[in-house]
Amino acid sequence: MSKGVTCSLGTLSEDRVPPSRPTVDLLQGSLDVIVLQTLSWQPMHGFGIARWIQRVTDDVFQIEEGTLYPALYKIENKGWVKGEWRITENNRRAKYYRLTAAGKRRLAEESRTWNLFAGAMAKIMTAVPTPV
Amino acid sequence: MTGPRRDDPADTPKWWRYLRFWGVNVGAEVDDEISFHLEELIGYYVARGVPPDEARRIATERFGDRDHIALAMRTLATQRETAMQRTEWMDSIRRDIRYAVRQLVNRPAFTCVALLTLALGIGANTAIFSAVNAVLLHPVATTDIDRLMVVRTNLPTMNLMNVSVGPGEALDLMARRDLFDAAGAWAGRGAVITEIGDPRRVAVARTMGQFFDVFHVVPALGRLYRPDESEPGKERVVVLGYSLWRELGADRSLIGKQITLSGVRHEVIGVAPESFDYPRSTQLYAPIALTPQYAQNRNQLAWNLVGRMKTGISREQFDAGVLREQQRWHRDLHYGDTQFLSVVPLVTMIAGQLRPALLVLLGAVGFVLLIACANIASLQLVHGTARSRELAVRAALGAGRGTIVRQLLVENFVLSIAGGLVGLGVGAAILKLMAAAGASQMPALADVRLSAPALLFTGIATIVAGGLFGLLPALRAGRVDVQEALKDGSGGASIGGRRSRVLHASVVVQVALTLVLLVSSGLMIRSLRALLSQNPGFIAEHVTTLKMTVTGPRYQQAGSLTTFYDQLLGRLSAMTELGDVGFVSELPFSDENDSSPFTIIGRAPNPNLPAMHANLHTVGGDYFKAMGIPLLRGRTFDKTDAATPQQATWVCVIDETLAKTYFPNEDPIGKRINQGPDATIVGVVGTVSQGALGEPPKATVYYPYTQHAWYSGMYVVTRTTLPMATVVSRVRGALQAIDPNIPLFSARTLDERIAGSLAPRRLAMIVLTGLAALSLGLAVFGLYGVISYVVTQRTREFGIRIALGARPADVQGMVLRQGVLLAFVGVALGLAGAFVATRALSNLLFGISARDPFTFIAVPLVLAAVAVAASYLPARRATKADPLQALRSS
Repeated sequence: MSKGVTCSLGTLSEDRVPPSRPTVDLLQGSLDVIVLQTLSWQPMHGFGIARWIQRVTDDVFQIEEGTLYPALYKIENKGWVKGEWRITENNRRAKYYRLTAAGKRRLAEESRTWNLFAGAMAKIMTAVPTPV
Repeated sequence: MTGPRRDDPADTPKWWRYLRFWGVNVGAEVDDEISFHLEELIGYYVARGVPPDEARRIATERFGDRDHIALAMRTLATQRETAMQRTEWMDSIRRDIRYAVRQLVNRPAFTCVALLTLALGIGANTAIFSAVNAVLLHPVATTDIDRLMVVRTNLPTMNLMNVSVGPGEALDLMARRDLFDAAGAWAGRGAVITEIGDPRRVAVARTMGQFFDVFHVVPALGRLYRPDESEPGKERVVVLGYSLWRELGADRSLIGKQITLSGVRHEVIGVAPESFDYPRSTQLYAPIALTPQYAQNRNQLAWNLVGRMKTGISREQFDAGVLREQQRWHRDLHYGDTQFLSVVPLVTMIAGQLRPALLVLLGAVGFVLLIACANIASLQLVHGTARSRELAVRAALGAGRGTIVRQLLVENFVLSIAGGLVGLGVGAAILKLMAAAGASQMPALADVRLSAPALLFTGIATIVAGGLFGLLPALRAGRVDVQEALKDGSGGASIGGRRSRVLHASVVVQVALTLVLLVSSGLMIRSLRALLSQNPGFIAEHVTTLKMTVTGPRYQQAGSLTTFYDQLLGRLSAMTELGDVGFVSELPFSDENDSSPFTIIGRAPNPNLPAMHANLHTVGGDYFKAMGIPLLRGRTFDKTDAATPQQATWVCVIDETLAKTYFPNEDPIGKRINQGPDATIVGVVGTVSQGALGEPPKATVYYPYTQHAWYSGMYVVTRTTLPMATVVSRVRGALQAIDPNIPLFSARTLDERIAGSLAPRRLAMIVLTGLAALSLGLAVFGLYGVISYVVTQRTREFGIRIALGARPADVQGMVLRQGVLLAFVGVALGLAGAFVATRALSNLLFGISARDPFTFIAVPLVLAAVAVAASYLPARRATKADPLQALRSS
């Protein structure tokens, strides 16, 4: 965890420096899965979720952090997460999101699909030509 | 990111709480959330050594388009709020409904009576409104049907009233472009079509003018014919009715085919739409060839003129225009002074006899609706008072007035929906009953379906009535003194003065309206009995009748029809099991009649008397015997009345009415009359009702088919106990042996034909009686319920009275007196109402007056007796009041 934090520190300061660094545009819908996965550890507010993604992915995903919120609201409307206003350790009001039972089920489904997809892609990308 | 702690209300700023007062403040929440993120992000950068201004810039960029994101968030949050509110609302309604159903199930007596009342009120009204709408208001599918008018002619001296016009007259009227947007005329007749499948007899409407344009008909297939296709040589086209087209296999390729219509070839050019059924049950439309002399004809009164009033002119202007046309005929064409035209709206014309019956029923169901509303109201009042304890408990437990009002509304609503559903069944049953009672005479009734607007209207009426009175206890409950209501162990506040007045009024209204319905149905029953006891002049039992149409080229030459009838009669008479067999051209109760003026040979016409006019019928075989028409003098026809061109030997038989009217003091036998050809009177037979039981008798002349051999349509009449199917197959067998192309149809017993003629009256009688009986039930329930309630309320008082020495009979008398008083006020008001209301019945009555003393005495007595019985039971209960209990509870 602490390694991740230092790591994210570096990348964050770099994000306007090296344009050569490879980044990935987020696919529509994959943001939902990322958010659900993030919240599977513990309830978090939007800022926390943004930091967590940044840290875990080594800043590969370039997202406008604001777009997290419509995504959060959308999955809250679907009943996968539940938002609650609480006081942070710095005594500030923030909206925390936690995964609901429906959200956990959804996450399980999504991760199965992603694993299948990723496995298949990996096979394709590493395949060697064979006579038909 | 340590664990967050719960929101502490003390930390929440005041403005925040204020904003949340009316539900979640979506905008504020979104702003808070975004601001938090941005501030944290700036702090994050600042903590890592970025200067504050730079940190703010980076954070803003990293966050993205704030306005855009905030808008998306607000939209999504609002959606969530709305959905949540809806869910909450649905949940609470569902809870209310569940509670209401439980409440209703717990009070089965109240629920059953209320349900039945609602079902009756809603069902009966929906059914009758639907019938009125379909039969009286929209009998033909067209636009602005109220602007369609029929012009009829009247010849009072010939006893011909409200009849069709002649072709020349129809043409004159149709030419009046100042009166009509479009006008046409039709004449109905049967014809046989061949070349498509088996030969079949179809109902044909011959039309002239813009017949289809009057109704704005759009063909389902092909085209409709134009007015100019009435010109001779162009008229060989037909339009199939939708039902016939379907019977012929619904084949599109029929368009353009040739068919033979009564021996003449015609081309099928189109198919009328399914919705167009005018004249009713028409299977084929064909233009008429207007030869110059036929266009001049003003005597063949066979044409039904129907037109769409010119846009912009009023009914008065239209009538005035028709009157001017009539005056022109009087002036230019020397019409008789007494002949005049009349205008009838098409809807009235089509509804015909059904109209008075349906209007009476419409009035009757209005009464039923009132009774149902009064009943529901009194039920709710009685019941609501009894419930005030329950409501007080709920109020004590914290239910606000709004909650209780909503609960009661939901209860009413549940009750009304259930009542409406049962009412749908009741309505469908009533329509079925009506169709069964009137189908033969009034096919229009068979197609009537429950109409949604009618259901909605009556449903709302009863809901409003129930809701209004259901709410009274609820409003009271809001004000109710909780302690007082709970302390009072006997169950609720006692009946207030105003409330008891409302209760009494509702009972009086129910009794009064029920009396009106009972009197009306009593009058209908008595007049139907009077009609049925009328002697039609023949003996209907065991008479089977069938119609045949003898057409085709082989019957064109002289004498061929006579030969045919001779052969058929020979074959039928040989079948002894058929009993007496005869023919007649126009059977009584068949809606057919033929009449024309006549003169008595050797007697100068009396200018002071109207022209002599008589029905004329052609008969054959043992017609009089088969019908059971008695021979009074002379003889009936026999073999000596053979076909001969010498009119000097032609004969006829007259009926008793003609004999008495025109030969009052002399023997008519041997006298000669002229009604077309001359004929010698050889016999007098009994008078027969031709169209309706109890109608004033009309003079009639009978001719032998041998000498009047031009009738191609004849009814076969047999007096036999054989079943209908056997008779049909025997007659068909005989026909086929002679000519297989002759269709046989309209097989019916004479009894059925008579019943058909009584259908509108029978319909009114059956439905009225049913409604009256149900209303009686409701009124009795209402009275019983109110008296029972009063007894319950006064139990303590009765107990004390008994404790103080009153005898049970005294107490019983007190209660009975109250019930009887209410019943008598109701009966008195009802009698007054019935005197007025039954006047509307007068044209459905026969043989009794609308103020028939028997009905007006017997019915109130019965109703009063029933009312006394209904208050007797609760009165007995009053005597059981326990003095000890009464004293202890006080």
